[in-house]
Amino acid sequence: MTPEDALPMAPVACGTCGTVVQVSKNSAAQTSIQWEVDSSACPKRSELPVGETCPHLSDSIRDAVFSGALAVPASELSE
Amino acid sequence: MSSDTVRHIESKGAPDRFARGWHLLGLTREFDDGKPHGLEAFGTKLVIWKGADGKLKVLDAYCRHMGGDLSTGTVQGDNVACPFHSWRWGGDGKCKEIPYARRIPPRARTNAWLTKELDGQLFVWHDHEGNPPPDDVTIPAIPGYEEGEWTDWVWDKTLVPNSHCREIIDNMVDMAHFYYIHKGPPTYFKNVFDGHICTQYYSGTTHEEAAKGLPIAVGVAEDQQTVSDATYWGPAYLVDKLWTKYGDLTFETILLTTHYPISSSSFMLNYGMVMKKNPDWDDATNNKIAGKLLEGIGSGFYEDVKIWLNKAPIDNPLLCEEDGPVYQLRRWYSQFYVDVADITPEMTQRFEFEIDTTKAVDFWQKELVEQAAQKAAAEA
Repeated sequence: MTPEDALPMAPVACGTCGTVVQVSKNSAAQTSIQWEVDSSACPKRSELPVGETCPHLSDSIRDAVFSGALAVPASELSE
Repeated sequence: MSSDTVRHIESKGAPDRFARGWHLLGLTREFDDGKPHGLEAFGTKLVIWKGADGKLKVLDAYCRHMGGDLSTGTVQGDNVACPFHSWRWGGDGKCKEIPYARRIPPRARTNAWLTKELDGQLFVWHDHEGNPPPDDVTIPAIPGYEEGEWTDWVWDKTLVPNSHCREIIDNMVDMAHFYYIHKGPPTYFKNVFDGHICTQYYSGTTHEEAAKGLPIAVGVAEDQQTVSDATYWGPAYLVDKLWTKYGDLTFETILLTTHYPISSSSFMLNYGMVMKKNPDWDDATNNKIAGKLLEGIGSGFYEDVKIWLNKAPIDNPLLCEEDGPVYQLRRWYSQFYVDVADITPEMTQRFEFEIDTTKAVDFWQKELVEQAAQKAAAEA
């Protein structure tokens, strides 16, 4: 997104390793994840292809959406 | 900013240096005939030759004696001899011999480029600050290349004038251009930047498939017409693991899209492919099929070039939610244009971005179904 239009990001802690990343979602299917520490902080990272999102982190992001801790635009969720 | 304010394109111009990183100059087979080869790159000219020791060597082409062009000289043993006065230069940049002189001047040293040969490719390391590459900045080998599991390289290149090479980097995040430029509507699209690496996952269908009007799986990487896992190793070397379906056949290929800058407003695009050999075919057939696949890829690059030749450089692109993370990509790319000491954490910290392609695929399929119906009606 153009910086001035981007949604604010919210912190999500990985339920497995505790690494905190900043996350935003424009829709149920869209996800942005900004790391603020070196990705080697995730103990699983070295086992995964560089482009693959850690499955534990994906689970924690899904949990954050369900719990309401991570807002997704309402019109998208109702679809 | 109110919504009726006109938005203006901003552009500060090209970077004032060339990127730090490994750059592919070409295949080793282009340079190994025992003659010196000239190549315009990095704002100068290079000379490349294979010495008697079997190694490819790269120096600045202009002789430090009187400016002769070494690439128009000859190879003498391990050294290259200048056509002007026959000064002999070694791959380490030192003048080894001046046949008519008693002594070699103490400062007779030119710029030697650090080279790497891997899987039939020749690379040079460029760093504005003149430092060698860190241990973790490498080019990955192709698994099975040495064992003969892949075809020979099929290869092509094209000079792109009037463009800075950052234009091709933008393609990494440009989801929608795959539909409009390359006739491959993406159904799944994701980017990850991490350290000096930048990845694009792309899965897509084709115009022909989408026009059938059958349901398209959106947001899944697997089992699509095209599945692509592409990674930039540094600023200029893209390795794309690419699976393409044609009817019942799936071709597994590795497509390299690489470039080196010629100047701050032109670059050489080098691209090539190896295909995993089909055991049912002989080597000649496998190579021929790989060549056909590359022709298709090549025509796609020419479509990109047509856009670049006419577009404006733009530092402040105006993006929608279905566009990829152009700003974060450029933040990642900027690490190669500053001193190592000035690389900020934001340039290298991991960033992951998956696009929601639902609306785009829905619209594109409707458009393609409609176009197919119109075409059928016109032919009826």
